[in-house]
Amino acid sequence: MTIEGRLTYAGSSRVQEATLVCHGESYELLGPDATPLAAGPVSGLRFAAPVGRTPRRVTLPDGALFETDQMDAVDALNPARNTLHLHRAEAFRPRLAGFVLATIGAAWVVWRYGVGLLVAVAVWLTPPNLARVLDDQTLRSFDRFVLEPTTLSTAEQAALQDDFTRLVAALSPSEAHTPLRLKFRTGPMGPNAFAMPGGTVVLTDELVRLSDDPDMVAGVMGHEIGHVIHRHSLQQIYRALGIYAVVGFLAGDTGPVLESLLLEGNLLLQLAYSREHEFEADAFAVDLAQRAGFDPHGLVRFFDHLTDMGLTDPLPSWGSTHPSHERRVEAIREQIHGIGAR
Amino acid sequence: MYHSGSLRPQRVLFHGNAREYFGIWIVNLLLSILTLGIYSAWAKVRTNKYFYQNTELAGRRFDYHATGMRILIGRIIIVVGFIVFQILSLVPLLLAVVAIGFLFLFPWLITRSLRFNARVTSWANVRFNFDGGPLQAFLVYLLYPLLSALTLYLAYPFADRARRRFVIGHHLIGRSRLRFDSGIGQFYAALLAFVGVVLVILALTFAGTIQTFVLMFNTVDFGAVDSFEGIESFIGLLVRAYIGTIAALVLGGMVYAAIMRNIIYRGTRIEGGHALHSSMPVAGYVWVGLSNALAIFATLGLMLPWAKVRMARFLAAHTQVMIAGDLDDFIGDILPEGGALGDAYTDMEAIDLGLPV
Repeated sequence: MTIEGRLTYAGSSRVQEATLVCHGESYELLGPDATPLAAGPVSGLRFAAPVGRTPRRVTLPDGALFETDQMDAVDALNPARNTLHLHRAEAFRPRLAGFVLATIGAAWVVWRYGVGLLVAVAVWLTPPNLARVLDDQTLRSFDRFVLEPTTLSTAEQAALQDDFTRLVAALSPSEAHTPLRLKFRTGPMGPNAFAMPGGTVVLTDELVRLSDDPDMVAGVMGHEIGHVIHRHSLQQIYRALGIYAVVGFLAGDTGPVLESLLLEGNLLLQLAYSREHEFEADAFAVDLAQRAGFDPHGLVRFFDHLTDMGLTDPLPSWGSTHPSHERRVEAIREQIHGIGAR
Repeated sequence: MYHSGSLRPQRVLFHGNAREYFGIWIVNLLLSILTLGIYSAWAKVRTNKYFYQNTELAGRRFDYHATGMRILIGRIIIVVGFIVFQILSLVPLLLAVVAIGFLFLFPWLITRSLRFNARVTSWANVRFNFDGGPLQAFLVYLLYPLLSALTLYLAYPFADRARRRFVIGHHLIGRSRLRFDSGIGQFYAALLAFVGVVLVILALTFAGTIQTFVLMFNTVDFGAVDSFEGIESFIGLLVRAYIGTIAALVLGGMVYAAIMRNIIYRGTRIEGGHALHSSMPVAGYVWVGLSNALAIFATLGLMLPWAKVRMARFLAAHTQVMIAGDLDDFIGDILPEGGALGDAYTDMEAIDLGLPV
């Protein structure tokens, strides 16, 4: 067998025409005018894994490189069958469509279950005191920039703290994984409440003063406790990071634009999960209120109050982190109805 | 010896095509998913081999010689190290120690990465090499950018130029050294273009919304925590500000990258009198980048191979090497590559080392 190609000497960029001649188990390399350049057993040659239709590369024992465009001839000599199988699998043939479908299926499984699993493991690995440290830092920066000390009287605070303790006491042992604490603040964001991953629940004075209805505030506190118990914030942080890591790991370099969009755009995708979390926290609040002996309709009254005040969500539901009041009230009513029927 | 004489321009050719790379890419992706990411180390090698071997200069091809196992081991060590770092930094007392330790580790990882990548790259069977040390890497990657921040980035072009000089000037092909130099004016022009693009896009995004922004201060909510209820009209504005800022930075970044590429190639000489040249149109680069992103996005990633091949072809078409005499005289030895630790780190952190190949 005779293969025409080019020879590059070891460690030199000089190229010359050369011919590789194989007779059975031995080879001979000939230069122009058939001057012998090298000879030896074929087993001493190193065949590079074939990639696409690039020139095939054969390295001689002394490091010289023989390159040729006669791909099939070299591939026939290549003893590494598995790299050839890989090379053949990559060929642009109809069966590649099957690979595309298999990849989409596998990617879907990773997306649907893999990311969730990664998030669960990461949440499980996060030490509780790390979350509490994060809470303290976040609250401190809020205090510096937006929040102000509460104007509630000590008696008012004590009454709310009692309700909060009652709710916490009603948690089942498996739910009581994070120590919970209640904080009061006032600020420019009106009737509001939020929870942080380390178990800190913050109520605004405006929310407390919305009406003289302890069941309503208990419903809101239950909702925030629900976020903590279900570890929603942590999940969202890890989800965004996890998706970025998985895509980066699998797809590799995605080009100059998509790289940044991937990380940033991820956050917008999180909105869908965030709405799921709101429903979950609502359901938890109703259940907890019931267990702690509060009126589970408190949360419904809260939404009605907000709607009466004109504080509805101005964005269509796909653009918001929170579902609309009507849909939430509807879901809560259904749930309470279900409890009553049991 | 950097003699000047009559220079003969030689085009860089890229022979890859999207059909062929699609097959390689989809098999890589499938195997990577099925092996839970382990195969991605081999996939990286195969992808690089495809792109390097399809790049031709003066009748000779480039090649990539790293092995998947090396890269996998590097990645495992980096991931384990990253987790250990995270855990150690939880202890407040250790945090300072860990941070200072990282200050030493970072330049070392960068130089290791540059060296590894240079030594596994060849052209015409001659390997590249990198001989820069961590101390200088510390200066150009950490100290100078930090100092330029103190000048409100007015001195950033000087830091940038120092970094390019370091990275390019410590690269060798065989035993022939590369060298980079360029006037500082061009670096300022590139920075100015970046700032200009960012400002124009931000102005377009926020035209007429300043009023809303002032109002927003009164209706602020917290995206980072679970906010229960509140006035959320600001979210629409936030989304707009977010998209506008990203668009500004992405576009500005592309313009800057295109201008910088031309500057860097035009300022690079290879021992023996050869010179690199790039004549890339900035608008063309932005167009290819944006339309690529759109195509990838619209096809849920299936056009990624096409986009990568298209970009490689575009870059090659605007790259030349000005040859003094011929390219037969490069000689060099194959040097030990060392571990792929630094490479795994820069991969993970997506640090673009901007090699001049």
